[in-house]
Amino acid sequence: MELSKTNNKDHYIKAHVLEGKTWYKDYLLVIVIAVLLIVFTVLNPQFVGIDNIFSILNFASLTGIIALGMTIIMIISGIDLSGAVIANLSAIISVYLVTKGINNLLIILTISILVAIVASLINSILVVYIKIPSFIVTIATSAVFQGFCRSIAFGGAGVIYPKKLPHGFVFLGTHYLGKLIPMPVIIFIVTVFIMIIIIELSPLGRKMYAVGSNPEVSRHVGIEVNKVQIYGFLLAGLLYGIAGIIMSSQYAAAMVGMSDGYLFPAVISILLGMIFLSLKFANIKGTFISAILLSILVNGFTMINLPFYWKNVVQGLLLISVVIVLSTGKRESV
Amino acid sequence: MDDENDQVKEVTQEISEGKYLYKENKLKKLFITYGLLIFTIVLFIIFSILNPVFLSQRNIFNLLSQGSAIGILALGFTTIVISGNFDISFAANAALVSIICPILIEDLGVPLLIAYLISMVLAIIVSIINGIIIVFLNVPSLIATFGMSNFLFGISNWITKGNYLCFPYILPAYKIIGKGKIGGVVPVALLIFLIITFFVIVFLEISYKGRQFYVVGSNLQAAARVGINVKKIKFQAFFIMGITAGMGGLIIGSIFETADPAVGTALLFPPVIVALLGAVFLKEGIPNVLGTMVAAILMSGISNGFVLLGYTLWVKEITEGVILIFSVSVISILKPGGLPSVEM
Repeated sequence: MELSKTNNKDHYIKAHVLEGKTWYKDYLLVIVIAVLLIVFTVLNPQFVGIDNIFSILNFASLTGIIALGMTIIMIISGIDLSGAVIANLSAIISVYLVTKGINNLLIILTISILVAIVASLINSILVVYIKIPSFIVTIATSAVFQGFCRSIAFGGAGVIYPKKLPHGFVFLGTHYLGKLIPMPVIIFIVTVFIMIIIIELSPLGRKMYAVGSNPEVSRHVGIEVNKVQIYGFLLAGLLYGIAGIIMSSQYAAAMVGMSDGYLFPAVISILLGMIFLSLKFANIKGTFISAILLSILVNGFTMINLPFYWKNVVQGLLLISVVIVLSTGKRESV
Repeated sequence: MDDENDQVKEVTQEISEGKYLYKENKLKKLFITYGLLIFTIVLFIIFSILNPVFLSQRNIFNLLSQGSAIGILALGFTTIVISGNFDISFAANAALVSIICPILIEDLGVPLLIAYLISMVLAIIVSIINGIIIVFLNVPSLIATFGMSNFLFGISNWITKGNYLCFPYILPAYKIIGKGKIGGVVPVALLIFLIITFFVIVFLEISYKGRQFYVVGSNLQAAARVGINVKKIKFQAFFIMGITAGMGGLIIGSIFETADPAVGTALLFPPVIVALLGAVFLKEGIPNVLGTMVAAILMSGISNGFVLLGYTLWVKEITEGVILIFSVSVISILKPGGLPSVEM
């Protein structure tokens, strides 16, 4: 008897078990990364200089952590466009606390991350209990949170630049472990591992996928949909907070809009990861590799001296192409 | 057995007394329907007490002109949401138009009306591309237009080389649609807004073709079964969005006399808020034209009032966000599923 092959989302069976014929998709992104590296190096040999590699890795880490948070929310409900702004808020709060004379690093980190978690919690209440589609909620809340950022940083015209920093403040952002690997990268990789365990392997993660693809059926099967969704939002908030404190640690300051450059690449990362590493549902590994790819792309554009607006043009086209590919093979809506 | 009979008799009695009739909460319905209008009037009164300049002719003029541009964009956005889609690229579209038009007139010496025509055609082409991607390639409208807006932002910057351009010596006739007055009083922009509103009302709310938009937006399956050409309707919505984006862009360009890609960001939120806030009015959760109109005046008054009262930028930003959250919350409560969601 032939097993009929389900061709749409079946989250309880691992993707690559079904994907016998499309092994290359897993590696396509890695190949593209290699190609980009070669091309950009040819165009500007400094591309593979140690400084630039660190620059790429830092950008990839921040984009990646924010993208991971957005991936979780993508899995359980929809798109979260406020991730970058929440990270920004975290960064601003952390620096604000310094200017208010708080010297204990642990307190600063805890409060900043808590703020991010609370912000994500606000999103979750609107999405889970008032049942507003998550993208509208996050568009609105991103404006509100950005307003908060501006109001806190108001005195310094949008920038908070403390003169004296508590000991260890810049550790997370600028320290090189073993004089070689930047801390942000370490945090990023550790985070990816933890997220893979939580999201892809643990029962909570399975429930998140279930809730995301069919809330009604999940409810009938006995999954507490609301709780799972809120956990997801809290987890994402934690990630945004971590990204925020890395940012403020890197610059030893905070600025309104400092995280804007990470939003678009993060969104593209999630979607790109959806095409290439799974059966078109959001996943951690895909986001991880795509974040690195996007960072190489963005950095490469700068290194070959393309004016800044080309980034937008290419990112826009890339996003549209990715979404078109993701939508082909979907059943037509009518 | 006797007990059951008694119970049945009791319930039958209650039914015939009308106990189980659906009684509309008249007060709540009234509040929702007319609340926005009342709120607007009250707010305007408060503002004019707090700062009498609010009611000065010049201020009302500015308020109405800028509000008209936003209102026109909001009308297009309303149409799109009525038909069940989203479009957040209209702001970048309008910005592009506001950049291209003065460049055509001043740097390329194109006659005014031809420049207007080319700009409108451009806006419509952009919207048609959106329409093709969303309607015919089945791409979720939010993400597609999100990408498109970024793309258009890049193109706008490419044209202005990353800066913004000023046109202090531009043809006086260019300034008419933004700053001209009819009879010395009524802004030209307002007149254009009212004319467009009239046409949109006649089309969407009254004509048969227009009502189909509502059907498509609220119940896709039913619309298809009844024989409505769903794809055509959705595509037409984007066409209308293109026209309004073009008009809005031309008016904004005329008001500000600059070609500034940043206008795209500033033009995004207000029309979205206006359209969704207007949905709270009159039709209990469904975006509609009259609601959009009232909301346009309200939002215009709020942003104008805040400036006059000396509030800083972030107050407006937070207020706009909170109003948006309020509107979509009310819509989601009144009409679950009323807002199109993204499924990937």
